[in-house]
Amino acid sequence: MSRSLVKNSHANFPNDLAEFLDNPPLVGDETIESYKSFLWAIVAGLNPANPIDWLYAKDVVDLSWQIRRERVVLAGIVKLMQTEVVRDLLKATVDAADPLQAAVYRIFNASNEAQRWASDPVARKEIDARLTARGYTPSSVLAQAYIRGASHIDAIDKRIASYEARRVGIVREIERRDAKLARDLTAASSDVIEGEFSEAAE
Amino acid sequence: MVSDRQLAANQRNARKSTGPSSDSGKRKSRGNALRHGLAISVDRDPLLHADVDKMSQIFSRARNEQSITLIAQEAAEAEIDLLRISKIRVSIFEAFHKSAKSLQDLAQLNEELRKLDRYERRAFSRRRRALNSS
Repeated sequence: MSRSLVKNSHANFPNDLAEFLDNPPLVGDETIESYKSFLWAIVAGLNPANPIDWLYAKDVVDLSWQIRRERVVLAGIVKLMQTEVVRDLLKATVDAADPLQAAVYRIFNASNEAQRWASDPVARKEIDARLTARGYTPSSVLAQAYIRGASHIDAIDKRIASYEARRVGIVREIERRDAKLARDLTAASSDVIEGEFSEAAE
Repeated sequence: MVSDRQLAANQRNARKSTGPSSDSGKRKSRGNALRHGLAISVDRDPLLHADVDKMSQIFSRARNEQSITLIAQEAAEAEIDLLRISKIRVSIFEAFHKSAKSLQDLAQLNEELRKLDRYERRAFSRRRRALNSS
């Protein structure tokens, strides 16, 4: 995160805004500590002088948080698609001499092996080697996964672009009053998007 | 004109209805709630009037205005809309996280967020326009 921003996890919203802003928009395993650390680091850097600045700070935080969340979903989609591609390639390239054995593998074993590929690094290495020997490298599997998930990936990319445009719009509003502050905010919020905040806050 | 017999039959049948039972029906039904909830503008939702009033006062004070102006009220309505949208987004993601995260779940997530994004962009623009007017 930006070195110019100071963590201040004990700060509070002004009384009149607290009732509107005190509920962090957290989902799943996102922690309130990480969110608040980021929020108060941004607030400490912005030093809001009036409620409008407070709302802008909260928006920058929430949009950055949202972009990071979407990227986690994106990574999950790619992994899901890769697993499907691996399963289908294992089915398509099974080389058992006995046709019955091959059919049994396609029906019962290929999916299990694909799941092991997704969850066990040792199995992944072994299956990658097997598929590479059959002409399917890990990068070609990844490329097929992107093609297969293109519509979902595209939808998420568009949302991320939309959040990014709004975040930039808010920073511009702040920039009209204080250019240096806007630069610090951009740097700090970019760090949380890239996932560096949790390490920096510790 | 509906006869008394038909009316009674309609009422009997309506009482038997317990809402959608299939997964796809339930998903559609959830979508309706989202659509209808956001289609009602903030100024027409009596449950949000108090919040809009409070936020209008906050904006008016921030702009050094003696009383609540139309601009402050417009900015407040947009802000309350943004807060409402943020809560809905959290509930959409919560539902996704609790799901099996299958492709069908993902398609539903994308569709619901696509609708939400449209409302959110509009609310952001409304607030920016209001706050930038003098």
